[in-house]
Amino acid sequence: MSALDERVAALRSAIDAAGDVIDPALVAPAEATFTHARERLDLSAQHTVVVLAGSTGSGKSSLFNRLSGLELAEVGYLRPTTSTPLACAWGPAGATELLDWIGVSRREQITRRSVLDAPQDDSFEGLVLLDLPDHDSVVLENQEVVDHVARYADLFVWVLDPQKYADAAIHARYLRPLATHKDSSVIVLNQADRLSETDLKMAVEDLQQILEREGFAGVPVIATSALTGAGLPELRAEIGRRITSKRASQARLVADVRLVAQRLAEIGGAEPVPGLDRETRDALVETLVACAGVPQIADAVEDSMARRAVVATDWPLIGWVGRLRHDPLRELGFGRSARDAVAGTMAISPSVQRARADLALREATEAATVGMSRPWRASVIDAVVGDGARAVIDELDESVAGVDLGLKHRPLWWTAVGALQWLTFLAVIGGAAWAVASVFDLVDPDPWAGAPRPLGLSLPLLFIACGLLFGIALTMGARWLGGVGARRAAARAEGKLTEAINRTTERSVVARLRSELDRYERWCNGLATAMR
Amino acid sequence: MTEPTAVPPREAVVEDGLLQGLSGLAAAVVATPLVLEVPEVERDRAVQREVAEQLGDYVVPRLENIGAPLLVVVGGSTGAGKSTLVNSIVGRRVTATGVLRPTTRTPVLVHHPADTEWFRSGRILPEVARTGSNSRRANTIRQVACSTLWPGVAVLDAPDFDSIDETNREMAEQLLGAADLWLFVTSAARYADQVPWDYLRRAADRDASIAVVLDRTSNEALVEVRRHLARMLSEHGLADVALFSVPESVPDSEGVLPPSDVEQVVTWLHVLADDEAQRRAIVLKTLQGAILHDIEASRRLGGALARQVEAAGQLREDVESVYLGAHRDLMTAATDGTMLRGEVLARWQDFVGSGEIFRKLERTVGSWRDRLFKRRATTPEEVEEAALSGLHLMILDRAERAAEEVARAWDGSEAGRALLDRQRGLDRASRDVRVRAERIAREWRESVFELVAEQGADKKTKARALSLGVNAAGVTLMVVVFAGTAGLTGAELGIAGGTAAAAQAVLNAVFGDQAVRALAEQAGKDLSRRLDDLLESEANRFLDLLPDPGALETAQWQLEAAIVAVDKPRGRRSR
Repeated sequence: MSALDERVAALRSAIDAAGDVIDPALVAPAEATFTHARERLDLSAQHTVVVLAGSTGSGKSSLFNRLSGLELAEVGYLRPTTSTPLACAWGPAGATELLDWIGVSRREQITRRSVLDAPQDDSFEGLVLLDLPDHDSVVLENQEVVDHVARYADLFVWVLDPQKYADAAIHARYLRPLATHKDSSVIVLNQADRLSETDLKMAVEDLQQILEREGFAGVPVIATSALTGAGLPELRAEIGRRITSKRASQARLVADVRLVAQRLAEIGGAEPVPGLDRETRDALVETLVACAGVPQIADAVEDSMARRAVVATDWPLIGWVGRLRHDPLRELGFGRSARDAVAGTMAISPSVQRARADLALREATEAATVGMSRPWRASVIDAVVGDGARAVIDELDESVAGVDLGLKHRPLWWTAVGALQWLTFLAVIGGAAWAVASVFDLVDPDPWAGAPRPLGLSLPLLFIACGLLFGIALTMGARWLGGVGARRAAARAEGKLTEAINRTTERSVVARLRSELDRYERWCNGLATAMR
Repeated sequence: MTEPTAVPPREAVVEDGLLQGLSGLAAAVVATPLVLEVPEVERDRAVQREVAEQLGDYVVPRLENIGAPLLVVVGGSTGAGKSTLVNSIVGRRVTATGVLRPTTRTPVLVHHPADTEWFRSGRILPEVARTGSNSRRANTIRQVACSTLWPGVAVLDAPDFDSIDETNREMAEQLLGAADLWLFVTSAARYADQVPWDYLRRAADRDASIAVVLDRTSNEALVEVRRHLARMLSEHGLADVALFSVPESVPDSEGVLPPSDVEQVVTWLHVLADDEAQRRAIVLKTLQGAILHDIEASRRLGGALARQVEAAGQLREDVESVYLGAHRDLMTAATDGTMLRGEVLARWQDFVGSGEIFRKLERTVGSWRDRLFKRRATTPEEVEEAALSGLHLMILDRAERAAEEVARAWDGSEAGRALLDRQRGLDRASRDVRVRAERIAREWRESVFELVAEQGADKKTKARALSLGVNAAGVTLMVVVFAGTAGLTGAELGIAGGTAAAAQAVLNAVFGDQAVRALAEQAGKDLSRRLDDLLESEANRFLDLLPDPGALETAQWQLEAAIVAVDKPRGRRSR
C-alpha cells in the first residue's frame, strides 16, 4: 500500500470511529480531500504540477519565462500583471486532462512535446509549470484563483523578493497554514540582483529564520535573479529533482491528508487516555454491589436462615414461639424463591441508589478518560452514564433477582436435630404421663426393680429430667450451629450476588465504556497514522 | 472630497462641550467590555482599539491645541523606503534603513528644536513612551530634534503595517490614527498591494488628509506606474491627493537620497510649514473626519456591546435554569418520601420496631423478645447515618449532572465554548463539592437537632423531650421532613407516610401537633436554604466567567450617553 493509501485508510477509519462525535460539517473537508486525491491519482502520474506563487511584483512571470526558456508570460511594470494562470507542460501526453481538471483555460495551456526548445537537458520531462496571479493585490479575484490552483499543486515554488519577503500577506495566509506541506515547497528569493552580496546573504538568513519559526525548517531557500540568471540553475536542478522522483504529487496529497488530520486532531484531540484500569473497575463493581443492596440481602439471608434453623431445630414448644418472629426476607420481597424478588433492591431508596450508581459510573468514566477532548468525553459520558444509570440499575435488579440465594436448601442436620428434639419432647411427655399414671397406680413406676436410680429419682422423673436437659442442650447446640450455618449461607449468597453483579457490570457498563474507549483509540491511531 | 474648509476660529471648535463630550466618549469606549468571544468579536475589538486610540492619542489633544505643529506620519508597506525618505527629507541619517524586513521597529519622530516641548509633553500619543536613544522597547517612540526641519511640521517614520510583525502593525495603526497628515509611501512593486489599499480606503472613509509618494520606481517604469496609481487613487475616492514620485536610486552613506530626487516632497512640506492657514485646514479636515468616523464607530461598538449583552444573558440563563432545576429536583427528592423507601426506612423500622424509641419514651417495657433473640437494637445514629449519606449522595450526583448540563448548553455557542476552553474542568462539579455536600448534610442535622432542643426547652415538653433524647427526636423530625407529609392526617398517608405517621405520632406526643408541623416546615426550609447556598456557589463558577450584568448595562448607557453628548453639539455646529 502506498503511503497515501495507508494514510487515507487511516483517516477514514478515524472518521468512521468518530461517528457523530465530531460535527459532520467539520469532517466534510476530509471527504473533499479524499475525492481530490483520487481524482489526482486517476490523472497523469507522469506529470508534476509546479506552481509559481507569490506576491505581485516579485517576478513570478519573469521566472516562468526564464525557466521555460520561452517568453510566454507577460511581464510588466503595472501591478498586478498576471490575472489568469498560465501553464506550460513538457513531455508525455496527459497534461491537457490534468490542466483541464485544474481549470486552466485551454487558451493558457502550452504543451511542448519536445523538450529540445527549452531546458537543455531532459530534466523537465513531465513538468507542468504554472504561473499564478498574485495573492496580495487589490484585485481580489486573483486571490481566489491562487487559492483554487494551490489545491492542485504538486510542488509550490514560493517566489519572494527583497521588498516583500516578510509580508504578512504571504506568511500568515499561505506559508504558516501550509507548514504541513513544507516537503512540497521550495522558497525562492527573487530579484537578488537588487541587493549587494552581503545584503543578500543577510536577507536570506533572515528569511530562513522566519521560515524556521513557521515550521519550514529544512526547506531550501534559493536566491535567484530572473534578470541576471543567478540562482536559476539551482532552482532548475531542484525542480528537476522533484520531477524525476515522480513522487511530488503523492507527497503533496499526503501533506493534504496530514493537514486534514491535524485539523481534526485540533477539534477532537488525539491525546492517549489511561483507559479503564483494574482498580477503577473493581471500585465500580464494589459500589454497584452496595447499590444493589447486596449487604442488606446478605444480612436478611443470615437472619432468615438463622430463624428457619431455629424453627426446624428448636425444642418444639419454643419453636412455635419462634415462628411468630418476622422473616426479614419476606420484608425485602423475597419469598421462598429468589425469583419472586424482582424488587430485590428494595433495601435501597431508588433515588439514592440512582445517585450513587450515577456517581460511580461518572467517576469510573472520568478516571478512564483523563485528557480526552470535550466532544469525545461528552460522547463517552452519554454512552456510559447518560441515561445509563437507570438502565444499569434495572440490569442489576434483574441479575440480583436471578440469583438463587440457597434458601430452599434444608440441611439434613435440621431434620435430625428436629427428630431428636421430638424424641426428647416425647420423653418428657412420656415421663410425665408415666408419672401421672403411676400416681393413680395404673402402671408400675418401677417395673425393673433393682435398676440403678441416680439421684434417687424414679424412672418417670428421670425421663422428664433427661428429656428436658437433653432438649435444652440440643437447642443451644443447634442455635450455635444454626448461626454458623446462617453466616455461611449469607456469605455464599453474597458471593453469588457479587459475582452476578460483577458479570452484569462487565456485560453492560464496562463493555459500553470499553467500546467507547476503543472507538477513541481507533480515532487516535487513525489520526496518528495520517499525521505521521 | 469636501471644499477646503474655511478656518474657523479655534474657540468655535472647542465650544459646545465638544471637547468634553469627546473625552467622555473616549472613556466610554475604553470602558466598553467586549469580553465574550461572540462571533466577529475580534473585529469589534479592533474597532474599539482604533477609536480609543484615535480619540485619546489624537482627537482630544489636537482639539485642545489646534495650533500645535503638524504631525506628518510617513507610513506604508515594509520595504517601500519610508525610512530612506525620512532621512532624505531631513538631510541626514535619523532612522535606520536596511534590507532586513521589517526594518523600522521603533518609530522615529523628527521635529524642529522649537517644537520639542509640544511633542515631549506627551499630549499627542500620551500612551507611548518617548526616548532619545535607539532602544527597541515596545510601544516607544524615538524623538529627534533636527534643525534642518522647519518649525510647525514634524515627520514621523512609522513601522510598516503589512509585515509578519504584529506589534509593528498595531503601532503603525496607532500612529496613523494620530496623524494630521499621512504621507503614504509605496513603490513600483507595492503600489497594487491589497493591505495598504485597505488602509488608504479607511483613511479616505474618514476624510483624513493624505499625500502619496511613489518611491523606488525606476525611470522607465515611472510614467506608466504613476498614471496607473493616479487612476487607482481616483477610483478609491482619493482623486485630489498630492502625488509625488521618488526615483529609485542608491542612497549615500548617510542613507540620504540625492536632494533633487526628493525635492518635490521637501518643497511641499516647506510650504506647509510656512503657511499656517493651510496647515490648519489640513488639521481641521482630518479632525472632523476623525470625529465623524469615531462617532460612527462608537455606534457600531454599541451594536457590539448589545451582542455581548445578549450572549451574556443567554449564557447566564443557561446556568440559572440548570441550577434552579437542580435545586427543585433535590428538594423534591428529599421531601417526596422516596428517601424513606430505602435504607432509611429499614433503619427507621428497625429503630421503631426494636422498641428503642418506645423504650426511651416509656423507660418501662423492654422487648423481651428482642432480649430472647439477642436482636441488636438500632440506634438513632444509624438511622441518621443512613438518611444523611443518602442525602449527601443525591446532592453530589445532582451537582455533577448540573455542571455537565451547563457545559453542554454552553458548548452550543462560540462564546460559551471559548469560556469552557479557557477554564478547564468546568464540566465537572467543583473539587470540594463532596466535602461541602457532606457538610450540608451534617450541618442540617445539627440545625434540626437545635430546633428540637429549642422546642424542648419549654418546661412542659422538656421532660418528655429529654426522656426521648434529642437524637431520637431529631431523627424523628428528619423522617417527618423526608416524608414530606407534615400536616397531613394519617388517612392521607401512603406507604412512606405510614412510617412518617409513626414518627409524627411520636413527635406529637412530645411537642404537640401544631409545633411538629412548624418544626417540620422550618427544618425543610433550612435544608432548602443550605442547598441553595451550595448550588449558588456551584453556579457562580460559571457566572463569574461572565461579565457582570449591571456593569454591562452601565457600559451600555454610558456609551449611548457619550455618543449623544458628542453628536448633539456637532450636529448644531455643522448642520
